[in-house]
Amino acid sequence: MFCPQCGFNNDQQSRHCSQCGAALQPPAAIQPPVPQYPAPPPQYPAPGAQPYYAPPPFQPGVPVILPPVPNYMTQAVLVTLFCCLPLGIVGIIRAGDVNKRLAANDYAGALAASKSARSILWWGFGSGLVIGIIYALVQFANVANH
Amino acid sequence: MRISADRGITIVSTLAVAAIVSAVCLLRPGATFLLPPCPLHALTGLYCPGCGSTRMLHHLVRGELGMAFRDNPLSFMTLPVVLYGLVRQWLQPNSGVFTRIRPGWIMAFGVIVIAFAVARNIPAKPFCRLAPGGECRAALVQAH
Repeated sequence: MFCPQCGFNNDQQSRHCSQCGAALQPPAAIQPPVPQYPAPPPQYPAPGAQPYYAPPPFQPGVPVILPPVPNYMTQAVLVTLFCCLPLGIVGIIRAGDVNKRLAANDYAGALAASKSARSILWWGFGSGLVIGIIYALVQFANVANH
Repeated sequence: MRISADRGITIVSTLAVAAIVSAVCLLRPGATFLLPPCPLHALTGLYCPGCGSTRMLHHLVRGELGMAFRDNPLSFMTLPVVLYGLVRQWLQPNSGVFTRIRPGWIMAFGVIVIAFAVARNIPAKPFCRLAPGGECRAALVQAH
């Protein structure tokens, strides 16, 4: 969750912000303050525009609860070291991109990088499986011939 | 029941790890068609950063830590991190594991992987010690 004081992206279970130490309230305990001014009209994306991922604007004092953005670093390392595929390297770079954007509070960018990482790693696992099956069949044919 | 894409990739990667670990418990890598030698190495003679990972696991599940390390030092040292990441993804699906690591560290890991891949293909000591098995086979072949 994001810290109400400094906006730092903390662990979902954290009780205190690891950046500034402010207390983080669990979602149930949040009492949204009564707005003192008329809320601005919501801005909708133009028809046909990019999917609307942008989070609500950051307001000091109001914790913004957004779902965490996975970076799939674990899977990227797995694809790199156990599937033998350059796709894993791309996954590692994307994971770094997710972290960079999260650190910069670019939630929409982090989400896009996360989705890109996920599809690359699906390709990694899929191609690893297909290549593995084809190669095992070739080996099996060789063993059967000799 | 709908499985989220996030959950799906956790399930698939856990199954992949479980499949490799159970395979190396029962079979010797390279000895059967089920655990064939790396296709890239068979075609090109090059070692990728993952070459030796299966043999590493094979030795690891038998408690032969030294031989496991020599087969692939990088995946030997990375394995605990991978297992930690998978366990966290199962226990706390919304924790965003590894997302608060500095991006520079992740990029540094990527650079280490590429440098490791280059180094283990250099047919000279000490680099060829990083090749699977930790033996300078390529250097020996050149010497003879």
